Amino acid sequence: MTTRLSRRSFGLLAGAAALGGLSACATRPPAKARVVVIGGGFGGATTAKYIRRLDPAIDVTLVERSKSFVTCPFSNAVIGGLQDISTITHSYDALSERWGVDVIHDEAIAIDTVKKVVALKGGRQLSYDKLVVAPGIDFKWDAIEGYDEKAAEILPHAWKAGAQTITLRRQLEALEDGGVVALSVPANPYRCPPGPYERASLIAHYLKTKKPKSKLLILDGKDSFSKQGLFQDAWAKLYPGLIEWVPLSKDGKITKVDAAARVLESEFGTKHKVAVANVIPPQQAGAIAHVAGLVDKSGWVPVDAKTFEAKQAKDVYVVGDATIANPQPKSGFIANAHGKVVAATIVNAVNGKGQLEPSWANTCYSLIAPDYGITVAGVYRVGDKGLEEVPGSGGVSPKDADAQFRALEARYARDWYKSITTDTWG
Amino acid sequence: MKRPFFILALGLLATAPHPASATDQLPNQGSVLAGPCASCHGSDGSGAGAIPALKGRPASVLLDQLKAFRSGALPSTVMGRLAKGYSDDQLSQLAAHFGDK
Repeated sequence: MTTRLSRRSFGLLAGAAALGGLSACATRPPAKARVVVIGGGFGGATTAKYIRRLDPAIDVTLVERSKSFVTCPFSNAVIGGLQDISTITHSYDALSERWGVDVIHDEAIAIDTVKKVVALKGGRQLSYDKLVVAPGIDFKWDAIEGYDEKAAEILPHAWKAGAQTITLRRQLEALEDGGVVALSVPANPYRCPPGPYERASLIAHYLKTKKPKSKLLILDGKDSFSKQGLFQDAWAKLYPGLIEWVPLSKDGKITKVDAAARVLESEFGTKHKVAVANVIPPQQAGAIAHVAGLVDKSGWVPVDAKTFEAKQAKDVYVVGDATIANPQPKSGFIANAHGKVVAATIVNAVNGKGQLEPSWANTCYSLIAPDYGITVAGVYRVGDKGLEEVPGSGGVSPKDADAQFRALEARYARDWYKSITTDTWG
Repeated sequence: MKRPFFILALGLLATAPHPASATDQLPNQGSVLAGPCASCHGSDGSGAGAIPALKGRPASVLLDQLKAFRSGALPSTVMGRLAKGYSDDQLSQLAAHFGDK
């Protein structure tokens, strides 16, 4: 294939390509429908794969910026030094090769929901019959004074996994024994409600093991948090005196930072000068949801509870963290569950079948130490007033469980990770 | 003319989508209910590490276990909390989805 094509033969090739396109149509049945999925995280990748799995006669194109995906689940284990980032990095090869999803590494910059076309940064335009928007979260860079993308290089958020995860890990490795680490946590809603407290636990585990004179300060924008009793009991037992939690009512909310000086300033002016600061800023739906006019005043996307079709646009479905789906948490588990329900909804709609009764479940695993896991679970349905947790279902791990129970939940956490990442990208 | 066509033919081979390796039937109520189970038990219920497989076990045995998790007769970490979210009829659909008839 080293022949250099002349201008003339390139023209012939282009003509032949057009003919080739026609003949390909003649040998393969035309697609029943064309689906475009924006975003290849837990929600988007699952939707793309499951549509193809359920009905290979539907064409699916997945638009994703990154060549591989680094998961937020288990990124806290990377930050805590328990495993390498390669163990939480997933390629899109199986989606394209095994499932026949057309994966395009580009960025969606506009959606015309009337003409049903998605415009990509690289110049391509993709027309769709059904669109799935799975943009995850973006940060509200103006919410904490002085905290912007540049400041995040010094005070990492590490709330989208990847380079930021490594930055925070390196800062912890470089920390001198006795240094103070701060973790700033936003008010609800944000991605992964128990995530900051798992992170605090695994940073504490690292400090206790390697830098025992150090301390961890959690500066919180709220007064209570997910699995709070279980976390605090475990901290008292495993990391006594190491973690200090400062809630909103005790001036825990951070409103201003000085990145160069590593100073975090609270609502009422308390200045915390620390050695390492992990600032998790307030969040909103990913940018494309805003550009496409899918969000409401809250910055998140309202959806129909049964179908997850965006309230603002027909034939546009939204899954994962970007949606307003209370009481469901913004978790990878729920995003994956959204993806399967939306895939079934789209496949049945394309095949002229009716809408099935949706059902979702969630289990959020958190590691407090390598052999100490806890969970919160829930089963969700559509009730008279919209999404609801099935009464009597779900809840957190028992308060009085023994070490064996905690170790088993830690083991299940790792096995869950294998299953869900294979279910999503495998 | 020949060479460009040759290039084109190879190009088509390289980009032709592979047929999906496994296709299920169109979604039904059981498969929708079963969606979240796959997140721990694997896409087709074949289990992972310490998480047990569901596939290849009799549906009647799965149903008995699900009901025992729900009542608390069978101890569990998270299955009891999850099973409480489903009616008898829904548990039957789940058992039928994963289990052998």
